[in-house]
Amino acid sequence: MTDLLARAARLPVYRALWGGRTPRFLRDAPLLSAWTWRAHVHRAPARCVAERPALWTLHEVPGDDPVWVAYAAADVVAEAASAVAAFRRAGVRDGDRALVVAPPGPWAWNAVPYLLSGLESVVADRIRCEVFALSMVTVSFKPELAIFPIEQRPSVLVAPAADVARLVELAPGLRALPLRLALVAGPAAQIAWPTVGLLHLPGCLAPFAGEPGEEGLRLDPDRVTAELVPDEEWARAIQFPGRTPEAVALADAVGLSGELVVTVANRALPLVRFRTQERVRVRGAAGGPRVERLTVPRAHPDQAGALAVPRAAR
Amino acid sequence: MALLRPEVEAASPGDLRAREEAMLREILPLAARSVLYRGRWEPGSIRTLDDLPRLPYLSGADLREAWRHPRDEVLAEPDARLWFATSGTTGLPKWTPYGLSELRMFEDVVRRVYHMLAGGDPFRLVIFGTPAPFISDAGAYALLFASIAAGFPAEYLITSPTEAEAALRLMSAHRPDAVVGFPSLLLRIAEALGAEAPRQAREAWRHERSWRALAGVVATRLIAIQPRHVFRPKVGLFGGEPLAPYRKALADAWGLRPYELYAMTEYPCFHVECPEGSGIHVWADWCVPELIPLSELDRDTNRPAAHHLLDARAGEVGEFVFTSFGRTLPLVRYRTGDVIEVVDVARCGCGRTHPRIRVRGRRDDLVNLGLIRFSTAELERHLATLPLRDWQLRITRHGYKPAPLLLVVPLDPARADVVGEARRALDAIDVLRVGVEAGLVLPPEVRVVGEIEEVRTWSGKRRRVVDET
Repeated sequence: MTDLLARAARLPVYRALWGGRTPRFLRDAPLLSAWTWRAHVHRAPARCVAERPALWTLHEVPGDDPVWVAYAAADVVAEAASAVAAFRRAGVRDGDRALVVAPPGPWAWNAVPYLLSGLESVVADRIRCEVFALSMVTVSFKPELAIFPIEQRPSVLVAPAADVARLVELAPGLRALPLRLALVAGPAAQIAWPTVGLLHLPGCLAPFAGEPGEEGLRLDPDRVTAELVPDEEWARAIQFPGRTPEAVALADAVGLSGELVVTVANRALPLVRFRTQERVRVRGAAGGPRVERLTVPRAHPDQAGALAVPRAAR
Repeated sequence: MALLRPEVEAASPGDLRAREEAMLREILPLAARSVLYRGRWEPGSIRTLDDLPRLPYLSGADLREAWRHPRDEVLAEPDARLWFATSGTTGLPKWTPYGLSELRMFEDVVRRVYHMLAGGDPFRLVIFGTPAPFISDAGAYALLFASIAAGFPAEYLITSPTEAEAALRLMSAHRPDAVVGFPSLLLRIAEALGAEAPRQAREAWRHERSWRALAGVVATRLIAIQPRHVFRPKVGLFGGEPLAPYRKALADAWGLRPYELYAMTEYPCFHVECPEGSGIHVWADWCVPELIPLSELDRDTNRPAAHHLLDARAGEVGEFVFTSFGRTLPLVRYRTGDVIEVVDVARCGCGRTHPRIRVRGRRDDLVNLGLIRFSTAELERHLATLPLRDWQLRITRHGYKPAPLLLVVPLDPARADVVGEARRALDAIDVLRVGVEAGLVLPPEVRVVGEIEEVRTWSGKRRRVVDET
């Protein structure tokens, strides 16, 4: 962690936020908001990175504008391996056929089908599964695109919950599929198949996944240091305007709900104590605390009319 | 610029043919396992390139029909990993599986394309792809992964037309070296940017009273802002539709050097123009490329004769046919429907020996308005309900934009509302309406005429859709 803090301290966003000092411990670093991130990274991206990026993706921040995150080549390779591990843990097996609903680029989730299919140049130990990728943008315009993948009887569905409902409307054949597993981001109460939760966090190209039969999901500490700003902290900050809300380690937040704060040691552009604006509840479990997402994710554009260029032109 | 793999890219025609022949011997027994080729040839009967013309062609319809069979009977090898669809312009979308061999081929070829454009220099690319299940989305990731594996200092922003606004914002602060996408789309972005820039500049000034913001307001009042003022990419790589009508406009608006890319879903191979600018190199190490000359096509026989692209003469025009070397579902003598012109088959100034072509358009029953395409059958279906004696759709261009002109001969010349009815019929074609709304195609003009001037093929077949571009 000391390395990460020292590395981050050289970047403009943290120089400004930390007042030119390097915090000794993570808990000493001020929380980083999406607004601050955008104010620096979006204005001068090249000056904000510690290492040459290989990829820029857009990450959702619930209730706010999205943020751009950069990944170095080594970050992409690490995330590709993490994606394989997460999908394996979630129950995806060799021989599965996965129907993956992905938003268009540059959303981070756009990479999921290609991380899952694991091009061997970056993923050594891939899952031997087949991937049919669809996007709601294309399927909304031409629902026939969903016919063939459904006819191939996929065993696994990977999708944001909002897109599952929309896809079932457009391709009713999906409802009758005996899926073994649905990996879903967002509330899955309306989904009849056995579900496992997925969560995408800023700074992580690969999603975090739960395990079959388990509630919530574990945020792998090798990938992310997660903390929680409990709801009570925000309540106190409103009552006492001078007070800065404090985050607590996830292990100390069992039973609480609040905002998830993450630290991700990306080489290109690390995130240190980034306020995700994801509301989660923390549950205690044998392997470490697990989080349950309370935020409803936004639906990605799915209208044919969205097949256009900047807003003014529509 | 040095070639990435000179032993392949600059191989002699003899070496290329020998390589193709060796691949053919490997691929044909595999292909024979697929129901797609059942009964089409005797095992072992095809040993050399000279034997290849004895095999029947494969059409897009054959490929679509094949999936009526159980998938295990269609796949030559069971290693399918990623599936891609065509847009289904002339029917249901065609699905193509890519297995390990196809994905390796994909990475190899995009690496070659990248090196051709950027060499070993750091290069920042913004890719406007169409979302899944289309190939351009995956192509961008193939490029990313291949670059990482090869250690190229490349930086990618993989975006899509629907998310162009967010991407352009980042691009304005993080200028790309190259943009990749459909030519008509990149020009539409240029138009929209010009229209949007004054408002954006005023908004930036309201947010931040800085010299930079003020300069932005002044600049948008003095000049019509173009992408070349804001993004300044050096290179543009354009595919999905012929580049020729857009080439000059793109160079002017974006201030870049345009390169043409020729790719298709059915086959993971990106053919690209080299810096010499004298045609698109067809990678003859990854397929057997053939050409059915135009005269053969117009004869309307079931088996028009084709010859190897390396045997074609400069200026020859015809349909592109290829045999691919993927193992999951090899395509043997696949008729692409694309009409190409051979630029030259001699060694190029860049040192590469792979034959060079230009893409002229499509030969099948397609109304081709660049990125916006629909079948002639769909057009006929919509117009069939109208009281017309005859009609003809002429495709022209105003500037670089396709401008459809529908000529109609009403059954009853006194009938007044036939133009309105024809407009509504055209408006009912979803893809055309979206193209017009998005500004990619000019609104169709409908004109009542007394007589249609007929246009026929060499063999006398009448054309209802006439491309005059």
